[in-house]
Amino acid sequence: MPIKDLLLPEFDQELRNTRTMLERIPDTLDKHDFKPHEKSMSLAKLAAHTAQLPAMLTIILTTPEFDYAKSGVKPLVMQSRAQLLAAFDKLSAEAHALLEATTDRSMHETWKLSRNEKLFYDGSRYNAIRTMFFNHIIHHRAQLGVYLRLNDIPVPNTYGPSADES
Amino acid sequence: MAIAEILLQDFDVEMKGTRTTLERIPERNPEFKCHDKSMAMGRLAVHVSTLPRFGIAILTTDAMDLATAKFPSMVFESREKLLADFDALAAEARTHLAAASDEHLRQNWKMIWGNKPLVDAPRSLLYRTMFFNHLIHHRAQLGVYLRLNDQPVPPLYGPSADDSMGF
Repeated sequence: MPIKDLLLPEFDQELRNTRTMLERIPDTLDKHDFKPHEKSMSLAKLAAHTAQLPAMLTIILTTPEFDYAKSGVKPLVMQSRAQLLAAFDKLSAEAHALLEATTDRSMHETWKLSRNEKLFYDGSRYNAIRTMFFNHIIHHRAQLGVYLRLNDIPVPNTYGPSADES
Repeated sequence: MAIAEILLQDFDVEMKGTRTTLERIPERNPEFKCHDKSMAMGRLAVHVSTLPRFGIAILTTDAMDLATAKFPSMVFESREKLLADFDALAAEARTHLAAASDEHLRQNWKMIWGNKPLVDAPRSLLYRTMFFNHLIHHRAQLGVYLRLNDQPVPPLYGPSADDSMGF
């Protein structure tokens, strides 16, 4: 089985659930600065980070290495829910098309992540996709679920029923 | 490369991050909830520590009937028990995954409720969505619970506010 065929059904399911979570992000500006704790990311920042993460998959699939210090990638800044969803849809579609075209040979190639001289990751492209895209987006999506809960917004079910949806 | 070998690549790093998160669960307040509707911290921690059971079920059985399946209670007793259960179950899940053939992983696994089919999909997919990704999901929630209890939050995919990872 080509590795992409292992990843694509999971991509579709996880990104569909991520979209559902993003659709619940409040659009009222007074909620955008909400933080569960002073050390936490604001709701708007966390939502924008989650919505932009499919770009990480595109980067992993289209480069041999990525240096944060030299990348020029700008963080998405949330202006409205519609803007976030549009960005998420566009980035997801791009990443999906690239994933569909990725060969096993490319999956096994080395990919690196660094910031200037400091190396953070040096392993297979496949494993980078797993940890830096899939596991990473699932992680932040779950945090967003807690932010929704704390704002009394119904939390979508993801891997089982939530207290709001069976 | 065998499917099991592919799926094993991020196993150890994610289990290590999970263990670090569980090690930081404070024992003093297992009833803590961030909201009335949320799971208590102790219960959520037990859920995370025993989720490898789901992986084991998917890898070693053909189906699960939720109408008759028995699940151990999710009662938090101590951090020591939490970690001991997690270590044993994660190791067992790893062993079953490493031994799984491509044919076995491509076959469908089913979850039913009596006569009602709930899930019917290849083991390779359900291993991820019902066990591995599910665990990452609840571990992230536990991270927020740690934060709200002023416990240091471990860095997982990048720096946390408590650990810059050299960024």
